[in-house]
Amino acid sequence: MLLSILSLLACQSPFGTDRHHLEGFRVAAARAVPDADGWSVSAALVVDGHLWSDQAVALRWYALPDRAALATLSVSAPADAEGPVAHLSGATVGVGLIATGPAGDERRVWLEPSTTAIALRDVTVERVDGVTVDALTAEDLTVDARSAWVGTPDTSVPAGGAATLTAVTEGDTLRTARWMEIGEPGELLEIDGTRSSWLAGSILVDGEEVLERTIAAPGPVSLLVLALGEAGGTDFRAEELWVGPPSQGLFTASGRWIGVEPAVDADAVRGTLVADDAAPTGLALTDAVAFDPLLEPLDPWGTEALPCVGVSGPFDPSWLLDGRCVRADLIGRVVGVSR
Amino acid sequence: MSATLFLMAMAAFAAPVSGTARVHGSGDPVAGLTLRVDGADAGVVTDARGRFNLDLPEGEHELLFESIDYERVEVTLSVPVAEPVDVFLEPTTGYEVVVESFRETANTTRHVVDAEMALETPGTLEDSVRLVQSLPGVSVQREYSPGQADLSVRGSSPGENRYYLDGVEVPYLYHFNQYASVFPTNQIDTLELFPSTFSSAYGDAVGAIIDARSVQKRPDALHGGVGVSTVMVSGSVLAPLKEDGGWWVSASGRRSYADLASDATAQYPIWPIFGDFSARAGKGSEDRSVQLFAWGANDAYARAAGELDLLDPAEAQVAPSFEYHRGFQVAGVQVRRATEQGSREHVFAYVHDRLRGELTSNGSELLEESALTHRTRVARTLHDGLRLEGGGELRAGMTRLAVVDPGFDAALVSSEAPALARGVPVDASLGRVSGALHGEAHLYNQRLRFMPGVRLPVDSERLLLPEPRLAVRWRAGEQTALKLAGGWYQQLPRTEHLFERTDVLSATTSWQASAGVEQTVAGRLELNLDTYAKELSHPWVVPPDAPIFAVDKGHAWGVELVARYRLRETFFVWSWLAVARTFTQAEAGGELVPASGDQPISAGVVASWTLSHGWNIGFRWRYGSGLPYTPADGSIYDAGRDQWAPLYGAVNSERFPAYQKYDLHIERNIALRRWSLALYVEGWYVPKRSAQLYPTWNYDYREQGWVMGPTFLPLLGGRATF
Repeated sequence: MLLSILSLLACQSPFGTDRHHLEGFRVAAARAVPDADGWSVSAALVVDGHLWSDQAVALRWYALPDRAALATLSVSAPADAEGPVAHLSGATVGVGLIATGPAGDERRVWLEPSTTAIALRDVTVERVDGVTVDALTAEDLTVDARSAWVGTPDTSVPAGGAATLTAVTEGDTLRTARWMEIGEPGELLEIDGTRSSWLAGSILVDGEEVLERTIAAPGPVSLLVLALGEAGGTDFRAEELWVGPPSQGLFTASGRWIGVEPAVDADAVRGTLVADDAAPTGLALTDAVAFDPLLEPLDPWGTEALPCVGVSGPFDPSWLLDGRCVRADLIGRVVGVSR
Repeated sequence: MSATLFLMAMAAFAAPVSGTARVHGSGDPVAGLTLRVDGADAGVVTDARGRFNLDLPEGEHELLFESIDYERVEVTLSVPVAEPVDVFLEPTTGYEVVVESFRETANTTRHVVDAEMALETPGTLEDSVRLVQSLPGVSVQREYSPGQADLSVRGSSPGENRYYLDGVEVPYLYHFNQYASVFPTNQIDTLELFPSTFSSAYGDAVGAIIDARSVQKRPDALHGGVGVSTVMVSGSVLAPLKEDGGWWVSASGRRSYADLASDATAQYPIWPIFGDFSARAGKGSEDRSVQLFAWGANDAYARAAGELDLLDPAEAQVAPSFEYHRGFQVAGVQVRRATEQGSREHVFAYVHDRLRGELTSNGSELLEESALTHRTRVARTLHDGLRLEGGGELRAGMTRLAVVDPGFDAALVSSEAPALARGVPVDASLGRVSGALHGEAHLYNQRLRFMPGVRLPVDSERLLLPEPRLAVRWRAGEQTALKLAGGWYQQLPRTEHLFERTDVLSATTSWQASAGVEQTVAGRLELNLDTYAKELSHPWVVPPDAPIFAVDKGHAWGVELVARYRLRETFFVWSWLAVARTFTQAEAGGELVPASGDQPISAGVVASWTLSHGWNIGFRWRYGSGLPYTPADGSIYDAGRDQWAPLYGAVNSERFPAYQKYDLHIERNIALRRWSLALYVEGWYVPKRSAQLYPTWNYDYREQGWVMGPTFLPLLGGRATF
């Protein structure tokens, strides 16, 4: 914060990252959902710039009276709960999380839970025709101008194009949505508390002058959306969109994209999970075949046998987002996915 | 031929010739100037208003005006003359050597700045207080950095210093936190800095004292002027109400003008406005005078509470802004009397200081203080070898603090609205009475001066102990003096810090000692070597976001070497080298860490030459080791607000890079008949490796960068005076 007239001449060195870009190891969001006798707590984890990890992240949860207590808490202090999707019993003013990444990095997160929950049900993506990064001016980037962009529902955005993203919630009123993307393929420019523009590229503006334009490379883009409710509740959700024509064999499994080989046009597909570092979920499904889960009464989805979930139901790639599953434990598993 | 016979002879067939002798450039009348006609041995003398009258016979005559203080002027007149003759004289160049050493005061370490130095030292923008930053013992701060307004002297924290103008404490020193001081230079006669071990005349401070005196000389004629610099316009007028004795008045004012020329921006919804004024009326002479005075300052602006560049567009649209208003007014009367045996001075004043800060999102702070102050100083020489000095002061004030609805954003405005940032709601008023009696004896002979003193402070907040002082000065030779000083000092926190406390208040105390040598060479070049040490008990720490608290201890020591040479109105130069360390604790019982003003090495050179034809060139170079700062060491992510709160590393464990700054000042004074014009250009240069203003961090405080200041900046200005 600069208070001097002459120091307005000062310039600031740009930083390598801003909060829109998910890189390295980061706890991107956290939530506490009230349950029968306390809170179910979980966090959205970014490891090595991915929404998945081959190694577990150590999560230690604490019931604390204030944020200052978290600042001075020793990492060796006994936790009130551990692991992803943990349970904290009883009432508490605040929840503290100490997350230790595979490389030993530590992150501390503070959350004041609310009994009024908010649920982020969906994120709509609308391709905005007629807007290209090459032609945008500083005037076009104002909040008022972007608010007037008209879009068509489509999760595919041409390279150098634009889209409008909208968070759809239930429960408490949405105070504001926070938008993030894996890496820096594009640029997020908020419009209001529920919407953001997304450019398939980037544009650097200084006052009225455009200094630089770049166009995003074709391929998948992962977004992470955080919903902040008026009453203090939070929720998060991952979403994908594609720059350019989407590749063949994309399957939307529980809202997340997963590559399927061979391409199968069915509502339920079973296959073997393989590693795919370029995929948003880090996984692809090979030897894919359509199947009818109603015809297979015993663990048709193959998820009961997974050590990280042990429940019956379609495989959800977002189980890697909150860290309950690590990718290394899923490779070679046969699972079923559903639209 | 005697003067009388000469004039009688001239008068026999004479026509009247009259006129006035004036100083070139100011129009001041020149009294006592001798006027000789046609080479006569004797002549007439101008009166107190510079006028002369004589009768001369028709024809051509040579008139010669001469004085040791002015260049001689010869005028050829053809009598009779139709109009009065006005003659303008140039002052002769003085070669008065000014020696600051060997002053017989208990303030053994004393640095003096006068208006001439302030006007002609580059980089100070005609600002007396900025010149203090070029003095030894004062931490070299980065120009226009956030901490620049906080003077750290011999390691003192900003709150440990006291600032006075004509015996009245000044509520704050700088406009806009750092740009220009609230003292207009043309109103300042002298400014003294006592960096430590000051005498019993001052108290309630464990740091330094700055004591400024305004110009109080009765003007001979109407004077005034206007000035303009890069960011301010100024005006002043000074006039006698009666020609011979009687009252005189002066008034001056300054105002920034960028708000008139610039549109508001998203970062500054209200462009900064600041100004100050001074008005005086006086009567009397140097021996006996009374003066009424009023002065004050005001600052106002509104800014975005955060860095808009770091916010997303939707956030930036709704980002809170902070509106700030600060101003103070002082009004009072000063009475002085001086005789051969002693002097007496009384100052009565009313001080009003108001700060208001308001966040558009939530939270406001109002801090308002009204106080009546009184200060008396008495000095009397009882007989040769014994002089007594003493006095008293009293301050009765009422302070109101109202902090409403402090919220998360309040931390963004901690430097301007500290109570709001501390986050404790309060709406209360607190009355406080404080003061002291002090006395000092000077026992002296030709060589030795022994000056014990004591200060008896009182405060309605708690009982305070007497503070002993001692100063000794010994003239070891004609050009050498040794000096020693020491004492015990106390300071209580300022009233605005008392509202949040429920526990017993303790005073910060400090044992201080200093020793030094003053040496002149050939009666001109002054060399000073000063050493000092300070031990503090229970110094207060003022965090930006929590109530004030005391730690156990701190200490400081240093060595300062100063060389100084000055020819009044012609040339001055001083240079210094200081080696010093200051340590404190970050928390009670903790280890000692470098204090915020800890600067192991500082050095500088200041020089100014007044050349012929009105040219003046000045140069200044300053160097300082990097000051410490506390780095951010990660953060806590507040998932409910999607914001990051920094986790700080070890207090003051990192340092800025070393700082250097070069200033060059070139000025041309053009003396016209009754007014003069001064035009100046200044340039400053800061090497890029020194141009860091303050550290800044990315969104999660894991990446640090620097906000860089300009490396080169030209400045223009001018002033016209009459």
